[in-house]
Amino acid sequence: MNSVSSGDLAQRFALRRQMAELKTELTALTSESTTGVTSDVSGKVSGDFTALAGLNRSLQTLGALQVSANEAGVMADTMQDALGIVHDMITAAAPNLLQAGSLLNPTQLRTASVDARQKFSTVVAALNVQTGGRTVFGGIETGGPALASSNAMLDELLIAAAAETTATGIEIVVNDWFDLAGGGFETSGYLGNTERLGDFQITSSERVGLAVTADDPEIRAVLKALAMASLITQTGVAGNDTEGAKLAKKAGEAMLSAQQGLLNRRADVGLAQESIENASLRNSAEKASLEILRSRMLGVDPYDAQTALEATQNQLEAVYAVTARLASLSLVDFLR
Amino acid sequence: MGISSSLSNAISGLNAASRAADVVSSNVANALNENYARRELDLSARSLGGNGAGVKIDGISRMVDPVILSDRRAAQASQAGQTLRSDFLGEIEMAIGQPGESGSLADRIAGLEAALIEAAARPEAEQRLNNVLRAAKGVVDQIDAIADRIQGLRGAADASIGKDVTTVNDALQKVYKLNVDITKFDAAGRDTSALQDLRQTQVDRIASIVPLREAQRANGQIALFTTGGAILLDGLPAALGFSPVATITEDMTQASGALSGLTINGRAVATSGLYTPIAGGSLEAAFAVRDSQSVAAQSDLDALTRDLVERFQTSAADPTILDGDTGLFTDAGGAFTFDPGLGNDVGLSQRLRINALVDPEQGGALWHLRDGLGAPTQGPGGYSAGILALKEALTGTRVPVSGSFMGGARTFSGLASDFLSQIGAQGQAAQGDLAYATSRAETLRAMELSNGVDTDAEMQQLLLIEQAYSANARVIQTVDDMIQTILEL
Repeated sequence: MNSVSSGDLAQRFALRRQMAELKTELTALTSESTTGVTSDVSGKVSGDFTALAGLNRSLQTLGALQVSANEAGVMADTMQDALGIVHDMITAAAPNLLQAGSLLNPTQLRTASVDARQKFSTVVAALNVQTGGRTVFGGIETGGPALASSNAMLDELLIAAAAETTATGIEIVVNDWFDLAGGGFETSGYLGNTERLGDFQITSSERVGLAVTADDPEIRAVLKALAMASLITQTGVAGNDTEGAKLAKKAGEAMLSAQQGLLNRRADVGLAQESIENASLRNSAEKASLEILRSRMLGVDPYDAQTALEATQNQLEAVYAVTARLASLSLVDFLR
Repeated sequence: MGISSSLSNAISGLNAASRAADVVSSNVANALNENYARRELDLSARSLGGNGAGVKIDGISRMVDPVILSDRRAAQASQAGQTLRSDFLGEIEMAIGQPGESGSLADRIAGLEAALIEAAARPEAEQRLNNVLRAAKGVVDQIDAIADRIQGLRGAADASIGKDVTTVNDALQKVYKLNVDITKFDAAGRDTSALQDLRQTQVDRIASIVPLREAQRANGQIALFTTGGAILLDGLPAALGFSPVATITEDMTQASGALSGLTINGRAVATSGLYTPIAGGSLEAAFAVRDSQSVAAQSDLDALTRDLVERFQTSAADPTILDGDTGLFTDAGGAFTFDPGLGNDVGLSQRLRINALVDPEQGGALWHLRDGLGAPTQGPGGYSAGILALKEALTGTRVPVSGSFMGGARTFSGLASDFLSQIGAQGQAAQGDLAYATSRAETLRAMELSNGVDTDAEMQQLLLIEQAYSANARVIQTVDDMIQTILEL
């Protein structure tokens, strides 16, 4: 006997499958609407993770770049402050020395020289400044001080200039000590490294250099001038007022001419400070825009997610209702 | 003729009705059995000497649509195969990790770059150098983990081939025995429907592993052939041979003999390619996973590792070493020089190590990261050029020299994301194929199930049977009355 019928299991199979599908969809949509991020990243980017990987890499390195930029900023500020102290010292000392040099007053001469010696000591201390345990002006040798103590340097200069009695003579000795390659300053005065600090990476494409050392000619010029002035009361010209005055005048003029070089160095550091600040701003702007881009790439509109979630819930409820109804639709129940 | 023939007609009718009730009860009892084919009773008019003589029971037929059955088996085989392939790619993608997931390969590479940038800002800080070392170790560990996963999945594929082969052999033996039993019972005139159901179940077990075609033979027997052309059962069952391997390493291949191939009745058969007799199904997919998909993944991972090692083996990355000397990343402690004859880039991912010179735990010192591997003594603390050179080596562009990457220079993190994207794209394609195969298999299964038992129809049938039975009983009663009438004369 042939009959047209539809197997029971077919209906049950279809309903079961639909229910399972709806439930998995429900779980995915629930997580999407609560986190706001798609639950299937691979599907959202169609398996191509290049853009997402690049984005995440940039975000991670931006953190490190910001640390680097902050540290460069601190170092630059320290440098600028130290150079400021140096500048103030020679701006204060120069007029005293020039005056003492022209008035030929022994007391004034002595006062100016002692004052210069103290300022020399201050300048050396300023140039030996450390930030976070790193010496700033010592090049890549960040462990120890950049310069020997002012007393040590002056002692050596005294020995070198022991025999001199004229201002010119002492000037030549001081210049040689500071400027000659392999001279006293390079061997025992400057304790840092001739190689400068490397550039800091402050953005993904920018580096900034803070390459001022105590070894630079501009700094040497300042130290020279102050050393010369300090030697007035201690060397062979001590008793000789004329030579002492001449030496004071030379020292004062040297200080004035050193100012220009010092200002140039300060300007370099100032430019670096500005670059660092701009870099920081650029880094935070880049971070914000990358995060927006990422949420656009992976994010799910919460309104859409909620709507889809409700629709799926309604569908699931409909399947439940149909299942319940069909269960009661059996001929067996109607036969007796 | 006459009254006695009416009696025998009615009795045959009663027999038919009770037999029909038997069939209905069997159907209803098996309403929930998915491996049961609905039975129907075949009746025909009995004729004796050209005259009608009641109803004859021809037999019980199983309502199976052979076309849907074979289509469903093929679809299930395809679904099983696609599931294996898609699962493999999904596992690899998960092992590599998505960018943004902490611990993923992309994350660790970016972490190394970040650690180098921070160390360059303060090269004398031991903690920053330690961070660089840890980040580099993180990259090495992740690459090693991915390589281990690939070989682990290979081992799992090998084990699943072993299981499948055992299943097929077992099922073929059972089908052979059932064939014999069906012929015996058929010859004795008994109903073989239950045995045929069992045989269909056994064939279904084989069909998702190796897609096959069923052919009818004489006396109710069947023969089985794979769609690729191998004979599985024709009279006598074939025996599949395979020897699983306990642990698989990256150098083992079927070609080298370290991994077993497949034999049918002792003769080796191809397990891949156009003419393989096991095409379609989970057996071929498992071989594909073991012998080509995982090998390709390992090869690409090795190419990625080779790029990493070679980037740091240059004097541009480290001025204190020569080109080709051992760099920051080593091949089991030494430099990597490619030897095409040995193929020594296979397994480089498993052999990748950090140079012992920079690792205090292996007797090295952190300052080598800053001052260079060839530096004899520690240099000034503020020297950052070495670290910046390492960073440039990592982020500089380079053309990959091996693997399936398209030519074109890219950074190392770009190469890693290309590796992931290749797997990801393949994974998406495989998921699409799987979705198609699954929906097809489910549709055909639903169609097959709709030919199954419908209790409503059986109940309707039961009503008719009841009617027929009581009608035939009434006929017997009436004939009996008629005979009595004559006898009482």
